[in-house]
Amino acid sequence: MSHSKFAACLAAALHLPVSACLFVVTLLSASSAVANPAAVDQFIDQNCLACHSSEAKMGGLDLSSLPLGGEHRDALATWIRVHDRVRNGEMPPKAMPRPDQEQAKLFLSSLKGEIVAIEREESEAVGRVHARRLTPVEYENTIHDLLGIRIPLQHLLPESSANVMFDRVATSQQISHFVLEKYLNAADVALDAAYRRALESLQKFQRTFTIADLSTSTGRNNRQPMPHPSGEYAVTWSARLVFVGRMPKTTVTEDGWYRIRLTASAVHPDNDGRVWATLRSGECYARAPSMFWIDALELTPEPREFEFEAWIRGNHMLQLQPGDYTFERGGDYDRIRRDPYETTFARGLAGAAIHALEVERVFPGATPAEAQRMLFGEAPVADGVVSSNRPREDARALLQAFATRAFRRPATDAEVAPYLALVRDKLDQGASFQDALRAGYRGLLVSLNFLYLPESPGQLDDYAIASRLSYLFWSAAPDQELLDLAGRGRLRDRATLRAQVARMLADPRAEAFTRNFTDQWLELRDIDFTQPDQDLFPQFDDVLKYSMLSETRTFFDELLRKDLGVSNFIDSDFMFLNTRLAKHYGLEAPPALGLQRVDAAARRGGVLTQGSVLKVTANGTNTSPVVRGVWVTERILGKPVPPPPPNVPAIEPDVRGANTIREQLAKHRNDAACSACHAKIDPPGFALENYDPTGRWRERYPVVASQTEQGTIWKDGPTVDASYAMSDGSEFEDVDGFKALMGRDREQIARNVVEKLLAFGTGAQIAFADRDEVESIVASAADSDYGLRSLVHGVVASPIFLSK
Amino acid sequence: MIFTSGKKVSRRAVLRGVGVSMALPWLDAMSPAFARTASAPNPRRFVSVSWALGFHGPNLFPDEAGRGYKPSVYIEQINDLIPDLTVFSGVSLPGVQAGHLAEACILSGAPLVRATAGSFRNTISLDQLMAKSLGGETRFPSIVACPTEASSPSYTENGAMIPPERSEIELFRKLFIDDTPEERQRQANRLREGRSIMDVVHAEAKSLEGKLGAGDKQKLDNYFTSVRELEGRLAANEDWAMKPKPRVDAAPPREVADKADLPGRLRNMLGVFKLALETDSTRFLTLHSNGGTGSVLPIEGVTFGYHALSHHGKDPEKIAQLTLVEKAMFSVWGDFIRSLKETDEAGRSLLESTMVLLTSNLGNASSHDNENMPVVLAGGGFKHGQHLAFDRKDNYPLTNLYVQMLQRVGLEYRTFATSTAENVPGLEMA
Repeated sequence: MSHSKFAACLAAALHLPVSACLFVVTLLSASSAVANPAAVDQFIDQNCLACHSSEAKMGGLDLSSLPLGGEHRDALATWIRVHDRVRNGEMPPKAMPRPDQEQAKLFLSSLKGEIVAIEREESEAVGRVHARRLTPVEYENTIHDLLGIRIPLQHLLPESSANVMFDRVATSQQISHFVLEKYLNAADVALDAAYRRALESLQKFQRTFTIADLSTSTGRNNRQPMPHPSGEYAVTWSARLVFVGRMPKTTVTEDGWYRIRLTASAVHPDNDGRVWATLRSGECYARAPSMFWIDALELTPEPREFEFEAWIRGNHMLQLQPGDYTFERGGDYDRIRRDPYETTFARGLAGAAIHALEVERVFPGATPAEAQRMLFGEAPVADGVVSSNRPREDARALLQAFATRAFRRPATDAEVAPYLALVRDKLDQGASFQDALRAGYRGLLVSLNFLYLPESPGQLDDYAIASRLSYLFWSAAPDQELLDLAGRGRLRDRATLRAQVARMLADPRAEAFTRNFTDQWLELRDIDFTQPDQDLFPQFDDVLKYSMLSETRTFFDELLRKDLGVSNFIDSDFMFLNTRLAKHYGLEAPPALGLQRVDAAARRGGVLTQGSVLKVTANGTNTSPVVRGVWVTERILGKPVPPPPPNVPAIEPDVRGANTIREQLAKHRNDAACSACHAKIDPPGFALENYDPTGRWRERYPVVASQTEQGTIWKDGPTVDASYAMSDGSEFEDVDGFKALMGRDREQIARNVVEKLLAFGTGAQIAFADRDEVESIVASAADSDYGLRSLVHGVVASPIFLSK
Repeated sequence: MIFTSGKKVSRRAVLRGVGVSMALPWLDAMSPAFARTASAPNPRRFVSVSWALGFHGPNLFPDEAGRGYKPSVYIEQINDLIPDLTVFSGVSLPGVQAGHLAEACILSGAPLVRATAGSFRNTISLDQLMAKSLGGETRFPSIVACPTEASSPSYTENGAMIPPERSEIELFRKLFIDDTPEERQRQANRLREGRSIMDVVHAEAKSLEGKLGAGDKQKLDNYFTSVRELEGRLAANEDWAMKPKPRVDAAPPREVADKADLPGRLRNMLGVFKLALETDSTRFLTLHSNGGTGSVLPIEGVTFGYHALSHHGKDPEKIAQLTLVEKAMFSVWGDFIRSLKETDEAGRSLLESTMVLLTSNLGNASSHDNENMPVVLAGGGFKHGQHLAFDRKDNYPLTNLYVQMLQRVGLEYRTFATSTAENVPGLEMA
C-alpha cells in the first residue's frame, strides 16, 4: 500500500490502450459535443504530435488516435491529464516552442466542454455516487443505535480496500457471498446481544480491590511482577517486561464493558513532574501476548482519580505500567520481583502507584426497558418471554417501525411485506413470537436498504440528505430531529441546513468526523504500519504514539470549531502539546495536564511537522523525500501523483553513508522522464528531511557504526540538507522557508480540503465536471480566509452534496 | 472459456448420499473403514502460497536449465525436495504491469496496468474456479488466509476479493473444534432460517431495481448474486453443521509471541493448512502474505524491515540481509512441502495429490517489476525435479500453467485468462 507512494514519473502513467479508431471520427461521434472539437484537433496537431505521435509515443503517449467519448473511460482520464498539463503550462515542455496563447485558451475551453459534457451525461442519468455501502465503522454505530447495544462489531466485517483514500467511496466497495455471510453473522451477534439486553437480567459485577489484591498472583507467569506493595499503594516500576504490572485478581469472566475507577500517582517523576502510564487489558501470558489498549494516564506525585469505560474480553486482566520509554527501564526482573519495596524504591526507577482500584460491569446503550420497547413495542415481557395476543398483527407494526429506523426513512408496506411473511411463516410453524420476530429483524439487517445508502438520480430527497449529513458528521444514522426535518421536507432549506450542521458539530458524536476523516485523509489509521527501529528510536512508546494521534485530531478539531483557515494545515502559530510530546520534540513542558494549546515552537506549526504525520510517512528506520513528498502533494496539495514507470529502481536511503538520498535523487532530476513529477514531489520531501521517522528534529543522518550482539550501534552521519527549490524555481533553505512558499497557495489547499470532504461526505471521488462547483465552494469561503468550518458549510450546501 | 461438464453431480446429492463418510477425515488412522481404496482415487487438491514481496531472482533461479541443475541459494536449503518440485523462470502474467497492485492478479491473471487501475475489475482466481466446481464435497469449499492484512489474491466471479482468515487459532477452531450439540442444532436452525432470509431480501431488493440508476444496477446485481450464492452456501453449511468436525491429534496453534516473527506466523498457518488437507476439510487453500508490518524480522543478522530490504537498490549489505529473510520465507514453504510429503494418504504421500504453488506478484521488488515472477510448483503428480527456463526478456505466460493445473484437478478448461496454450512444454504427468 505504501507503494503507491514510491518514485513517480508522469509520462509512464499515460501508458494507454491505443484505440484503432481515428481521433477525428471519434470526436464526431461524441454524442454531446458542446464546443468545436476542431480546436482540440488543431492544437494537438500543431503542438503535441511531434512527440506524441503513433511513432514517437514519448512517455508512452500517442495522441494521434486517442478517442474522446463516454464509452472510452480510460482515454477520458488521459484527456483530463492532457488538459491539466497544458493548463499548468507544463506541456508543451519548456524546451519546445510556446503555443499560441489564444489557441491554447480555445483548446482548453473546447476540451473542457467536451469532457464535462461526457461526464454530465452519465451523472445526470445515474448520479455521481453508485450505491455506497456502510463502512464497518458506520455499520457498527448504526446497529448500536438501532438495537440499543454497544458491543464491538467492526472486527466481524472485512476491512475495506487499502487502495483508495476513503473507504466510503462506492467504487472501491465489493460484495460477494463471503462478505454477505459476514453481515449475516454480525447481525446474529448483534441481535443476540439485543435480545439478552431486553430479556435477561444483567450480570452484576462490582469489585473493589485491596492493595494486597493488586499484588496477588493467581498461578502462572510468576516471572512477570505484579505491582509492588507498600502499605498504602502498590507500584509498578519502569521495567523492560511486557507484562509487568499485571493484576491477575482483576481478571473478568465475561466479555463486556467495565467501568474502571483508579486512583494513581507518580513515583520518581521527571523534571516535568510526570510519569506517564498505560492501562491495558489482556491475558498477560506468553502464549497469548496480545494486549488491548485502554488509555494513557498522566500521573502526578499527588494521587489523582481516573475513570475509564473499556470493553474487556473474558479471561483478561488489567495491567498498569509506566509507559514512558525515556525513563530508565529495569531489566533485572528477578530483583524487582524479590527485593523488598524499600530496596527497589532506593534505585530511583520511575513508578506508577495505584492507591485504589474499583471495577464494575456497566451496560452502555439502552436500558432493558428501552431495549424491550425497541424490539417488542408494548408487548408484555415476563421471565424472558414476550407475549402477544395478536402476534400476526403486532408483528406487522413492529417490523414496520424497525424497518423505518433501519432504512432511515419510512418503510413502505410493500417493502415490509416479505419480512412480515417470513415472520408469519415462523409463527405458523409454531415459533414463539420473539423467535419469529427475530427472523424478520435478521432479514432487515442484511437487506439492501439497510446495508446500502440507495439514492435516486438527480436531487436527493430529504431522507437521503439526512443520511448524508449524519454519516458525514457522526458516522451513524440520522437521529430523530433530522428524520423529523426530513419528514417535513425542510432539509433543502439553507438556514435549516446550516443550523443542523452547527448542531451536529456541537454534538459529542462529531468526534467520529474528526477521527474518521483524519484517519483516512492524513493516513493516521496506518500509524502502526511500521514499527520504529528499536535500536535507533528506543524512546518511541505507545504513550507517545497515542499523544501524536491526539495532537493531530485536536488540531483538526480546533480549526473546525474556530473556523480557522486551512493554511494552518501548512503552518500555524499555535500547537497542541502534552508533557510526553514536549519531551519528544525537545520543548518546554506545557503548564497544565493533558494536551494544551500553546504558541507554536520554531519548526512545529501545522500538520506536516506533527509526529503522527512524520511517522506515517516514514518506514520506521529512515525517511524518504519521495514518500513524504508524494504524501504532501496528494494529501495536502491535492494533486494526484501517478505511480513510477516500471523498471525504475526504487530509491532507498543509504545508511552506509556513502551517498545521500539527495545524490541519488539528483539523477532523477536530470532525467526528463522523471523530472516532470519529481520537480513537484521532491521539494516537500526534502523540506521535511530534518525530521526523523518518529518526528524528532535532527541535524545529521544516523549511519551504522557497528553490529553487535545487542543490536546495531548507530552514529551521526552526514549533515541533513533540507534546502531545495519549488517546481517554479523559488528556493528555500529549510522547512520554514518551504512552509512560507507553500502557504502562499491557500486556494489550492482549500480546493483540496473541499474535494476530500466531498469524497468523504458523498462516497464518490470528485470528477472533472465537478470542478466549477468546487471552485464556487472555495470562493464562498474566501472571506473567512478559507476557514475549515466555512468550507464544511459550503460543502454541505453544494449541489454536489445534495445530489446523487 | 469452455467448460465441458460430463460428469456433473448435484452437490446436494453428493452431500446427502455420502454425507457421513465425507464428514470424516480421509486419513484418520482411528477410522480405517473410511480409508481410500485403490478404486477411489485420492482427491485432487491445490494450495497456493504467495509472498507479496517476491524473491531475489539470482538467489532463486538456478543457473542451469533442465534436470540435475545446480541448486540456487534458496533451493539448496531444501535439497531433499528437488525431485518433488519444478522451478520456473522467465514466466509472468501477460498484461500485468502494476507493481504491488498486481497482488490482485496473482491467481486471476487479469491484465492490469497502473494507469487504469482505478477502473480495474478482477476476474475469478484459479483457486476459486476450482472451488466453485469441486469445493462442494468438503466442509469448506476453499480456505483463504492472510495473517498480515485483510487482502487476498482470491476473487469471486464478479471480481470481489474474498476476505481472508487472519488468525490460525480461529481457523483451527473453525475446522476442528466442535460446538455443543445444542449449539450445533441452533446453528443449523439459523442456517435454515438464513436461507429463507436470503429469499426475502432478494424479493425486497428486486422491488428497488426500477428505482435505481444504471450505475447502481451493477452494484445491485452483485448484491443479488451474493444473495443467491449465500443461499447455496447456507444450504451446504446446514448439512455440515450437524456433523461432528474431524478430530486431530495436533494441539491447537499458539499465538506467536513475537508479532514481528512473520515466518513463525506463516508456519503456524500452514500447519493448520496441512491438518485441513489431511482431514479433507477442504481441497483448495490459499495463503497470502505481505511483508508484515514494516518490522524487523527476528532473524540473526537482520537489522532492516523486510519491506525496506526488498527495496535493496542493489546495496550488497541489504541484499545480504534480504537473503537471510527470504531464506526463512522460502523454508516456510519448503517445510510445508516436506510435511505433506511425509504424510501418508491411502498408501501415497499427501503431496502427490496436492499441487502446491509458491509465487509472488513481484519479480523484482526493488523495481516493482511484475516480470520474471518467482514460480515453484511442487507435488500434484507431475514429473518434477527440473528447472523449466523460459526467456527472461520475453516471458512465457504463467496462465498456461494455470490451465494445466485446472485440468490436473479434473476440470476441462481449455483457456484461463490470458493463456495461450493448455500446458507448459516440459511439464508432464508422472
